[in-house]
Amino acid sequence: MRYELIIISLVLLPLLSAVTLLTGNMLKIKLNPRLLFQTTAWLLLITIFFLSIIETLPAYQFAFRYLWFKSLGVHFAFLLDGLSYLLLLVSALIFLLLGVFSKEEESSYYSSLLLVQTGLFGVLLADDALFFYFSYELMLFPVFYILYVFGNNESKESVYKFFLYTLFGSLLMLAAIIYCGVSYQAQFGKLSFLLSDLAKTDFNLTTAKYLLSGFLVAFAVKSPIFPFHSWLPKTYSSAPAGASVLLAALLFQTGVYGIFRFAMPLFPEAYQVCAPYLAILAVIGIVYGALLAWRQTTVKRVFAYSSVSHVAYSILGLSIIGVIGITGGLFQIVSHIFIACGLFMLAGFLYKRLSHDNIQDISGLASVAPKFSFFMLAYSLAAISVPLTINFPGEFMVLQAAYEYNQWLGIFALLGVVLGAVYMLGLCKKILFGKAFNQEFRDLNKEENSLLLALFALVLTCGIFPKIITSLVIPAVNNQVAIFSENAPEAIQYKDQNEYYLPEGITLTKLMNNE
Amino acid sequence: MNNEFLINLLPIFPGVLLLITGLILMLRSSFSEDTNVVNLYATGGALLACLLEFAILISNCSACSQGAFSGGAYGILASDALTSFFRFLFLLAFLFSIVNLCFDKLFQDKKSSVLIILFFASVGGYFLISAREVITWYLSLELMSLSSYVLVAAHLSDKKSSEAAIKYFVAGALGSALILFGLVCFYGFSGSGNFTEIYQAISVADTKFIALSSIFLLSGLTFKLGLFPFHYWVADVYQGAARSITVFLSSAVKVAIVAATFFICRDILVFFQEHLVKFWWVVLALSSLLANIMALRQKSLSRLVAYSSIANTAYLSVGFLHLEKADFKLALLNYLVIYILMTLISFISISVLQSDDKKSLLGLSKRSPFLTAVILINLLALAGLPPLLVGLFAKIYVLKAALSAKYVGLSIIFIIGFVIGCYYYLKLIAAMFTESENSASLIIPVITKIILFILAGTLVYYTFFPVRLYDFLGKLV
Repeated sequence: MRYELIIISLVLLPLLSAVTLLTGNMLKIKLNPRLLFQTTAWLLLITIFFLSIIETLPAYQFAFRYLWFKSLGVHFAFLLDGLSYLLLLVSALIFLLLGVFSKEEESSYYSSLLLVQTGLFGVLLADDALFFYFSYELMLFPVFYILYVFGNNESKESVYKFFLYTLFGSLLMLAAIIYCGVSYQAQFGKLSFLLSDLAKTDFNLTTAKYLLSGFLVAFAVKSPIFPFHSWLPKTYSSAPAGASVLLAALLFQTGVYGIFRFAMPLFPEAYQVCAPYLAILAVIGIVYGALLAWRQTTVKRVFAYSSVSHVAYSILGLSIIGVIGITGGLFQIVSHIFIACGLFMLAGFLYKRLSHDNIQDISGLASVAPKFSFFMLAYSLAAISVPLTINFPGEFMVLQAAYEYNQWLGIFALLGVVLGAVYMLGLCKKILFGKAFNQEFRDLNKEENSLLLALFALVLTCGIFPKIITSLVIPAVNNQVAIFSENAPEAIQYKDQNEYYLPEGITLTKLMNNE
Repeated sequence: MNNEFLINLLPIFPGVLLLITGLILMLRSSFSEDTNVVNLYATGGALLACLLEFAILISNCSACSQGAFSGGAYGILASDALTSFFRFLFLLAFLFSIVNLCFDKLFQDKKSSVLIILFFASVGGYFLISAREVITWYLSLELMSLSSYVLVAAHLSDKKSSEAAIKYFVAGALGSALILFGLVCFYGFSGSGNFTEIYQAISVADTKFIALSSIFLLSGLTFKLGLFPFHYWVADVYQGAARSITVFLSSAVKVAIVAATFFICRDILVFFQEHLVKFWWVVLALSSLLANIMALRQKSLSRLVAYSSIANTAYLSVGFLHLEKADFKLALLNYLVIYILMTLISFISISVLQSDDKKSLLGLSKRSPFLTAVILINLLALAGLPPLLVGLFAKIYVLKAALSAKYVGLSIIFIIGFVIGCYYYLKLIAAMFTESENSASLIIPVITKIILFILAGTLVYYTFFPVRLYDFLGKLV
């Protein structure tokens, strides 16, 4: 069956909806932007569900490409495998929830959201480095627009900082991509930016290290990795409600996914050299984010720093080369998407009712708003990685891999878990329990209730049956680890030489030959 | 006039047409001051010249690499595909400036005089691009420059105009003097003015003395381009001149100067390429950094756009680093085309806004959604952000050229320049969407709306269908 049209429609549909909204706005045609957005979100979700009929989905490696223009050698190249499918599904779901959650009436808000959706799906489906870059950059300006126009007045400078910081990283990645393309042209004759073509180019180790750092800087700023996170707290905490959900839950995954999809396959030896430093930075980020979250005075800032801490778990997982570590890291992407979405939605509900979210002035919400408190506590427990919630399997895999790699790394990462419990439960204690709340606080209405309930049901389901996620992710991880193992085997020492998990009937050579 | 003369004249006929139109306007203006008829003649002349040039371009390209008209006019003027392309771009920018000027209320009483001088400037520019011989080249350059000085001073009641004109004259004269010194050395050395014969003379001789004169020539050209050490006149002139004149200066004159530098560098200076690369490196790196940094502080819109145009000229001049490579030529041509479109939109929008202050952009989204959309498209393309990928393509070609020749430091400096540029473009965009007390609706004349729509539409079109443009440019190099 021809799946190309369906896959292209995943990127085209939000783009066309955005263009419709924009032109309708300009020609003064009456459109209901919220309705259009929600319709698009439903259509996308259904499309993605429909794609699950592809039988060999996890190892599918579906690819088709269409040459855009020969002069630059850029293709519209799409690649769908288990990991892309999983992230597409989850992102489409979050966009759907966002459509219900947002209460704005301006059509420019929804057209920006649709453009972000186009960019995000382009990033997740891209097989061509320049197409990946265009989609990556496409997300930048609409997010800036939403944050600037719909945010409050105190946050304008932080929005510029977020934009320029991310742009600088992305441009360095652009330079690295162009250099890769030009090297491919010097070696093979024609200009191409396809991932499989670029992976064939030979780089000596020094050049590869520079190019890898170009890529990693961009992803380090986006997802944020410890020293490059300074744009995050102010931006998240002063963002309008829907936008902070968007940022926290959806944009970070482009960074982590980019590391897995682009940085690792293109420069395996250089990555193995960089991986220990990445792991150290990740652990520092975990502990640093957790310690700072403990000390914050507003709810949104606590969640912002906890975001830094949780994404650092993904990075830690990805920097430990082995099936368990990388699977844990990818698992953590999904878990953080769900949990950040839930937490920031809760913060949004709180802010909408009280117009502030200072922890000092809030206490005893449990007696006034039991449903709200239930979800607050539930999502906090999920964030702490209580077993049976989605965070637990991923974090366990990451911690196991970290401990096996280096004992101290594992111990400090574990410290991050403990600190997570400290600040999350401390936050709950301060705002939910204690002296009863004396001001007016409406409990969650049906719509808000159902949003949070649906999301939490997913959190529980994936926590009880993590195979849903790991089965989609594992073949891609196996491919990747196989690429690592054929280069520089002396870099990472494993306790047990044959640690790979392979589905029945597939041998390592078959995987390596399967482009 | 025998047949041979006419046939030799045919490839440069648009230039002759421009001259004839200027003369007709001169004659006409001494009889009557009927504005509409003047407008008609001017626009008609420019349009006709443009169409003729397009015809020459097409015929050149369809006759593949050897242009059907190369080597015409006794070797003094050339008319091959690349020259024809530059001329077409020049005439296109000139056409837009003429249309903008014709409907500008500013020069009501002396419009025909201004138009006459504009046409003479365009004649200078046209033959500057076509010239392959030192004296013709210099004469055309001076014709265009002197006409530009007068045009900047044309708005006599504004003190800023006169000041800008004096600054332009002094700086331009200095640049022309440097160029003349360099050219004279080459002329004296080789005994002939023709570019190819100069090159042949250089390549067989002792080059120490000639290397010095190439530095003079290049410095003068940098003056004219408005790049780093000699960029101080650009902001004052673009701000002081009347808006419509700035449209002409920033687009058409820029094309002519870039083309002139291109042909000089390709035919003469290519001999010293490995030494001149160091000069260009410093000039480009510092231009992009300093111009972007200086633009951050500006309160005046036209100065801001002037500094950003200095930076953009620096990006497109990366092509001069290695003119023998196709990559660099492609980067230069591509960036030039996109830059002309963006500059035209920038200065025409400023002229529509009627005010030079950055604050006049406040609340524009409520006052005029059309202008907001146009300026948004323009600024996104300048910043190189998707969804206006056309600007990003231009920047990618520049970076590709630089990286393919391993200029990593220059690429990183350009990237820093891009980021700083994004900051002030974003500030302008944000100002448009900020609430403001001034809610008077902005009236834009219909013709200007049509022009802006065509220009912005071209930018959007090339974002989604870039194939034809890039294939065409690829064939040219």
